[in-house]
Amino acid sequence: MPYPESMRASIKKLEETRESRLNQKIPILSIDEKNQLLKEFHPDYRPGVHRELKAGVNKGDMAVVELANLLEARSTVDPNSVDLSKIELEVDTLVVGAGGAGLTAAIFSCDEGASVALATKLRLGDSNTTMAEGGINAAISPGDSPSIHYLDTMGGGNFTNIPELVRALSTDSPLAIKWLEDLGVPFDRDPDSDLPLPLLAGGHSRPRVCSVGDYTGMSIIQVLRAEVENRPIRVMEFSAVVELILDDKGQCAGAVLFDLLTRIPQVVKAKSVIIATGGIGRLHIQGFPTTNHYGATADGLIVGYRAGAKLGYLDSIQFHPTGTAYPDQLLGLLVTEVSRSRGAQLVDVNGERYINELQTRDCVASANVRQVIGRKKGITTPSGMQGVWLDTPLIDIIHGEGTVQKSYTHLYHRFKRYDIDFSKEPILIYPAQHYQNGGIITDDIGRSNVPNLYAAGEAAGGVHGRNRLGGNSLSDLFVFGRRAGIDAARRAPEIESGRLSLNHVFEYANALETAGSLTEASSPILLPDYRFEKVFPKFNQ
Amino acid sequence: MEALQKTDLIPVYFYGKRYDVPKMLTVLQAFEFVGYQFIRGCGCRGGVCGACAAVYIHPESHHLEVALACQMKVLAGMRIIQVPYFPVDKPGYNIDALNPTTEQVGQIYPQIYRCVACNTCTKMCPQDINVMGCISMILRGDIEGAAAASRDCVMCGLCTSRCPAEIPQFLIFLLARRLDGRFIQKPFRFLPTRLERIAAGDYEAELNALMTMDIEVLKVRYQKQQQDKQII
Ligand SMILES: Cc1cc2nc3c(=O)[nH]c(=O)nc-3n(C[C@H](O)[C@H](O)[C@H](O)COP(=O)(O)OP(=O)(O)OC[C@H]3O[C@@H](n4cnc5c(N)ncnc54)[C@H](O)[C@@H]3O)c2cc1C
Repeated sequence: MPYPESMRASIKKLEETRESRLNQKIPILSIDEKNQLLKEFHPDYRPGVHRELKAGVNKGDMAVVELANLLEARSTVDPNSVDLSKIELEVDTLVVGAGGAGLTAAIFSCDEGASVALATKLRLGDSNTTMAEGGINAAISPGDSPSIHYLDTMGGGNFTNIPELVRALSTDSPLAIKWLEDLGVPFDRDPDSDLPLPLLAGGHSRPRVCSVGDYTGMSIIQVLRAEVENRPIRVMEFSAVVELILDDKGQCAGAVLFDLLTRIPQVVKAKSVIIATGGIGRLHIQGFPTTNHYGATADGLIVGYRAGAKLGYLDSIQFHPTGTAYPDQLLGLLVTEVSRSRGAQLVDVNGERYINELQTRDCVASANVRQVIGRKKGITTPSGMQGVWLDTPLIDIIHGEGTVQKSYTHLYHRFKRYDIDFSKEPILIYPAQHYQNGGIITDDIGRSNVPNLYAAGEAAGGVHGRNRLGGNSLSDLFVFGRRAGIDAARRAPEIESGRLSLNHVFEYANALETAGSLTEASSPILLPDYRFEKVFPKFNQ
Repeated sequence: MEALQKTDLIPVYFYGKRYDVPKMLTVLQAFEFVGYQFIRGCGCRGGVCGACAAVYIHPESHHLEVALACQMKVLAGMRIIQVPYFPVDKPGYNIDALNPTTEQVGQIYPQIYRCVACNTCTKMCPQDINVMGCISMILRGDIEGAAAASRDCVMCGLCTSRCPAEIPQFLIFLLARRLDGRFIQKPFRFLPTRLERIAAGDYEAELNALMTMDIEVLKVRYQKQQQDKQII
């Protein structure tokens, strides 16, 4: 029996209320009601979880403590130990990070005629992108339009998004789908209409999620990885950026990479650098478990900030409403939002619903926290973790037997290994740290305030405001990865780099010391540390 | 199911060396528990990237088995190694210029014709894909079938590692899925029209209006749009 007796009593209640819940309608909260809920229960609003940055471009801004501590740390490499005259490689475009944004930027920059190096910390393609389950958004149905997508996105971000970026996102994402489709990404189609599946994701007012089962990201990454390998792009695996290099004109002119296998730093000179290093899940903000891959440690933000890039929304983290809460071995792993699109409901210990499941993630995650902490109606696991039920058997009840197994092959296997068949039994979930809303601020072609430094994907901030809509990140990667890659290539002939320097690293450390804010840590951290006791999960709520 | 805890230690052999680890840990966690900090051999930690592929001798059956280390719990007495990389050639191709046929696949990956139907590849798949079955489908011309049947492939390469004919099955299946997606499945019906309209600037006026609208008016409009959610 997969669930212990202590949890089964509640499952019984859930089963008893199921039928009456089937047609229960819960209205969408008004903007004011939602804001009130966030203030009371969203983890971002807890006291003491932020602190002020004391030096650098964002001096005076608030950031989540875990990130602030790394932003105000010493460099992982001693800049004096790096010989900038020994240049390992010289290219037009250096892309750092090989998730969706990085692979896309590299491909487009190469096709536009630039010489390209793609440096990445783990293997080519190891990333958050490869984990994306649900899908990628684009307004490609007749009943939808870029302007409807625009407004959903702006509202989803509580109108804190940068409008120019949202406009680029909503008008370019159909192009991204076309590109991926032509490369052979086998998207699901509704067989009757040849449109994306007729499902609504949280905060979207039209169906616009293009999926490949629950393997969307993996499928896209496999294709793009092959496309990179089909081109004359210099791929550098296990090469992590540890500092950016500026020149005497204050332009970005390359990066110091650290070969994780040989532990040797390498200097790459480049006319432009595109940061595509992704998210920060592995910092475990407030001790939350994360949905993110192993390499999501904020490195790009750290090196970008030292080089003078302006960051934004550093106090805003997306907690996904449905991270796994049981069994412990799967703690934090994502259960896709599409499960709710297909009718799975959120249910408390008494078998009762408490929120319209298709609202935005900040709102639904807060409602889950409220149910567990505020109202004490959570379900407790043998380890002491608490969560609420995601009533997944509804999916087969609504859409026909076999839907779960067919539509969620990946998740189905994952839970089956622990004897949980979620077409028959619910899944216990709780919010998990999912996405970094903020990042390096760029314009609508990915340029940061530092000349010749670009950012794209999760490492960039602004397009999603303070809350991202499901499926909008994948769109973001291809839209801005493409724009940045092309722009860097086109500008390459006119760029003259000056004398290479790491002075900014010293200067920033001095500024921190003067401000009395230099922390004990060194950063970027590159790899999270789960050795020894740290392997045991914490059960923070 | 019991909770993760530090007690209940069982012996496991990582690369032949014995360690005692809590029995509720995944293989990946157990490596970390004894002090490994992964550089290779760890990626998504969620069972889709293939970085943590491993082979082990099962303590009871004494057979060679495979697993993704992040997805499997340790077994008492297991002898396990990770196979984070296996060498394969990666011939380049231009997807635009291909056809969805057996001959095409055979041109790029001629090894496919050397399959001796030993079925070792299928036994080596941690995703339970019928690997040899997919190869046979491709040889029979059923690209679509192979694409569908190999959809769970995380490209870990374990199949190839023991193939006597040195067939890179996982690369061949990716090609099959791409050929299927590109040439066999129907494209999104309305996408070309949408792209034309975007190029013609059909949405510019609406977007300009939204971008310059008074924020309170915009909020009302948003709320209405959310309440009128529809599947059209
Ligand atoms: C489980 C999960 C499911 C998701 N599902 C969806 C979904 O369905 N739809 C959606 O739109 N979004 C989804 N998201 C969000 C989305 O997948 C990510 O936000 C997005 O893929 C980030 O892409 P990226 O290219 O910016 O970063 P990533 O894909 O994370 O890639 C970052 C790359 O940078 C590398 N890197 C990191 N540090 C360094 C360094 N110092 N030097 C060199 N390289 C470095 C990493 O190894 C990696 O290759 C999901 C996220 C997760 C975690």
